[in-house]
Amino acid sequence: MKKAIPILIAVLSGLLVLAALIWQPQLEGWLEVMLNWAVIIASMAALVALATLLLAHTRKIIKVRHGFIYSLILVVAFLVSFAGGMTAGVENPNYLHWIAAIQQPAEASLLGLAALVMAAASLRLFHQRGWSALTVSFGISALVFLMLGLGWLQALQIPQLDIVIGYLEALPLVGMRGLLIGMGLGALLLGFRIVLGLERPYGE
Amino acid sequence: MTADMIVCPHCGKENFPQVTRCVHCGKELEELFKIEGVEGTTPMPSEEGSELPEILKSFREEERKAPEPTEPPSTTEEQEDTPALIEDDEQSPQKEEPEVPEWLARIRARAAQETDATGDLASRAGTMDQVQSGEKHAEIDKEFTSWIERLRESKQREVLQSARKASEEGENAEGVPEWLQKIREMHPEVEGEETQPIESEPSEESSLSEGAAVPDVHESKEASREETQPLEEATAPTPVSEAAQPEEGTLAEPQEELTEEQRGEQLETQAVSETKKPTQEPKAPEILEPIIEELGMQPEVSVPPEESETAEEQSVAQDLLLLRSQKERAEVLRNLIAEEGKAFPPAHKPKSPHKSWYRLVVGLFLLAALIGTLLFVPPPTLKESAAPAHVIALQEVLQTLGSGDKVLVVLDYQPATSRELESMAAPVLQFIAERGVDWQLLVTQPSGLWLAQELASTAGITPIPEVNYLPGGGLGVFALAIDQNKSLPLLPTSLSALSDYRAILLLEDSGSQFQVWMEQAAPWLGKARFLVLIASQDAAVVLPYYDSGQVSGYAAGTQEGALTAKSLGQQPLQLPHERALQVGLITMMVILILAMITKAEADASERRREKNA
Repeated sequence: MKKAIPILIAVLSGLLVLAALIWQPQLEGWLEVMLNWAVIIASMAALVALATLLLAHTRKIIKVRHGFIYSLILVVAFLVSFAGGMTAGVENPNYLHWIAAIQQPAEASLLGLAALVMAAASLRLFHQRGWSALTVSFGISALVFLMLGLGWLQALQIPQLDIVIGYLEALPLVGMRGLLIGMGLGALLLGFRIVLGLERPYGE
Repeated sequence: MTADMIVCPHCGKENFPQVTRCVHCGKELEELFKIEGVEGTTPMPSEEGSELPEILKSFREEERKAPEPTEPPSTTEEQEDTPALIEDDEQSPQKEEPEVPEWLARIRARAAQETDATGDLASRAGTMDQVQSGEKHAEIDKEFTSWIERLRESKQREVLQSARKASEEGENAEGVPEWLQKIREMHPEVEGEETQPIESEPSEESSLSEGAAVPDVHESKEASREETQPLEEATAPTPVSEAAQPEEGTLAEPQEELTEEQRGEQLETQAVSETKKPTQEPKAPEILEPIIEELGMQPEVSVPPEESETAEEQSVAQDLLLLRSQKERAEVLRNLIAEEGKAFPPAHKPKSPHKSWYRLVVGLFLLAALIGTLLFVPPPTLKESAAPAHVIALQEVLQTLGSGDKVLVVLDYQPATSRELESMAAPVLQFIAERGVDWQLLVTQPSGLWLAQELASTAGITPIPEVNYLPGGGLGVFALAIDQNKSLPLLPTSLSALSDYRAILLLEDSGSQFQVWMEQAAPWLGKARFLVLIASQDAAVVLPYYDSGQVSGYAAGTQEGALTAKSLGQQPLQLPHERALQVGLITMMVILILAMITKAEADASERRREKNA
C-alpha cells in the first residue's frame, strides 16, 4: 500500500495530462485542479529545501567545521538579500540595481573562468592523450569553428568559400538534431514506463 | 599478468595484488597477507605461553588448530607450490616424526621454497627433529624470548650509539660489513684479538658473559635485516658439512629471489669478505656457540658424534633465525598494507637539456598576431544578402505586427549572457515600440526583474513597462499555457492567456529552457507563434523546431541579431564587448595552436633523446 499510492498518483497524473491534450475542453477543470496542487506542493518543497539549506549551513557555522566561512557568507548574503527585498520591495530599482551589481559580474567571471579551464584542458589534452584521432579531430574542429565564429571568413564574400562555410556550419546542426531525436525517444520511453508504473523516479 | 593476481579465499576469483578486500565478493583478503601465525591468534592458555613472544604464541595456536577443518587460506604462490612442498614434506623424515610441530614444518616448507639464506638453513635442519622434544621446545621458546629482549636492548643501544655509527661510516667505505662493525663495537676486546676463540668467554655460570656473547649473535642478525648479504654470511657456516669452510659454500649458492642490484652488492661484499677471511670467517659459528651450548643439544645419531653437536646447535639457531625473518616479513607486509591506497610520489622526470627557445619565439609571434589583429583588422562587415532563412523569417513576422497586436516578450536568460541578448533584443523592442504594438514583459527568473529594466533602458524605451514574474519554472510555463480562463491564482494577473497573443518573443540563453517552452507550452497553443532570439551557442537547438514549423523565425548570436536589426531598419547595437569576444576567440585559437606545437616539440625531443641513447 505504501508503494502503491505514489505509483497510483503518478499514473493518474500522467494519464490525465495525456487525455487533456485530446479532450482539452472537457478535462481542463481537472487539469487546473491538479496543477494547483502541484504548484502548492512544489512551493512547499522549495521552502523546505531552503530551510534545510539554511539549517545545514548554520549548523556548520556553529560547530566551526572546515570551510564554515563559506557557509557564513552564504547565510549572511541570504539574510541581507531577504531583508532588503522585504523592506524595500523586490521591484525597488535601488534594490534591483544592488543585486545586479553583484550577480552580473559574478556570473560573467564564472563564465570567463570556464573558458580558461577549457583552454587549459585543451593544452593538457594533447600532452596527455598524444596524437590520436580524437585529439586531432578535436583540435582541427575547434580551430575551424573558432575561426568561423570570428566571422572573418564570411566577410571575405567568396562564393565557393561561402558554400564550404555553409556546409561546415550545418554539421553541428545535424549533430544536434540527432541528439534531439534521441532525447525525444528517450523521453517518450521514460514517459511510458512512468505511466505504466515501471519507472519510479519519485522513489520507492 | 594472472601470475601477479591473488585469489580470493572466499569466492576464488582473482584480484589485484595490492587490494585488501575482494572486488568480487567484498570480503577481506587480509588473510592472504598473513604470515602464518603472526596475526589473528590468541595466546595459549598454558603458563609457558604467557611468557612467550606473540609470534611463538600464534605459532602454537595454529598448531593447536591444525586438526580442525578450517585451515587458514594460503596465497596463490603457496597454492601453486603446494604439491611440490607436500612431496618434499612427505619425503623428508620431519613429517614422519610426530614430535615435529606443525608450525615449524610450515616455516621450513616456506623457507625451502624461498631460496634465500633462511631457505638454505631450513634445508639442513634435519637435525632439529631429534632436538625438538618437549623440554627442548620449552628451551627454544625461552631462548627466543631472550633473543627478542636482546633485540630490543640492542636497538636502544643503536640509538644511543648513532653518533659513533656516523663516525664509523668511513670504515664502511673501506668495505667492512656493517654487521662486523657492530660486533666490533660491542666487543672491542674481540676486535683486538681476532684469532682468539670466543667460546672461551661465555659460560653457563656467568650471566654476564652470556649477555656479552648473545648480543653478538643478535647483532649479526640485526645486520642481516638491513642487508641480505650479511645475513647470508652470518648464517653461511651453518651446514654441517661446511662447518670448516662456511662462507664459500653458502655464497656459491644461487640466490634466486635477490634482485640484480642485491646480487651485485653481494658479489662486492663477497669479494671484500674474501680479502678479510681470516678475521670474519670464524666469527659467526663462534658467536652461535654460546647459545647452542646453553641449550644443551643432543648429538645427532646419523651424523658423526664430533660434528652432530655443532649441527644441532646451529640448526636451533637457524630455526630462531627463521622465526625472526618471518616476523620481519610480517612487519614489511603490515607496512605495505598500511601504505595501500596512498598516492605514490610523482616520478621525477629530468628536464630536457635542450633549450626550446623557439617556443618563446612562436608564442611571441602569436601574441603579436593577436594584438595586430585587434588593432588593425576592422570588424567584419554585415551583408544583408547573406542573412539566413530563419533570420529573414523572423524579420517578416515582425514586420507583420501592427498597432493593437499583443506581443509577449519573455526574458529567460541569465545575467552572464545579458549583454549578448540585449544587443539582439534592443533593436527588436525598439521596432515593436515604434509600431505601436501592445507588448508585455514576462520573466521566469528572479534576476529577470532587473534584467528587464536594463533591457528597456538599453533600448531607450520609456516608460518601462510592467514586468511580470512567472514562478515555478517548467510547471509555471505549463500552467500558463493551459490556463485559458485565468483561474490559477499563482499566475501573473495582468497577463492574458497565451493563446491571446499574436506572437511570443523568447529571449533565451539556454537550449534546455527553450525546450521547456516548446514542450510544455507549444502543444497547447496549436498555432506557431514563437519567435526566438537566442545565444549563439544554442542555435543548433532551435533549428529543428524552426524546420518543423513550431518556431516562426529566430536569430542566434550578435551577428544574426545585427542582421535582424538592419533588416528592420534599426541601428545595430554596438557593444563594447564585441572586441572582447574576438579576443577570447583568438586567444583560444592561440592556445590550441600552442598546445599542438609544444606537443610536437616534446615528441621530437623525445625521439632525439632515444636516438642519442
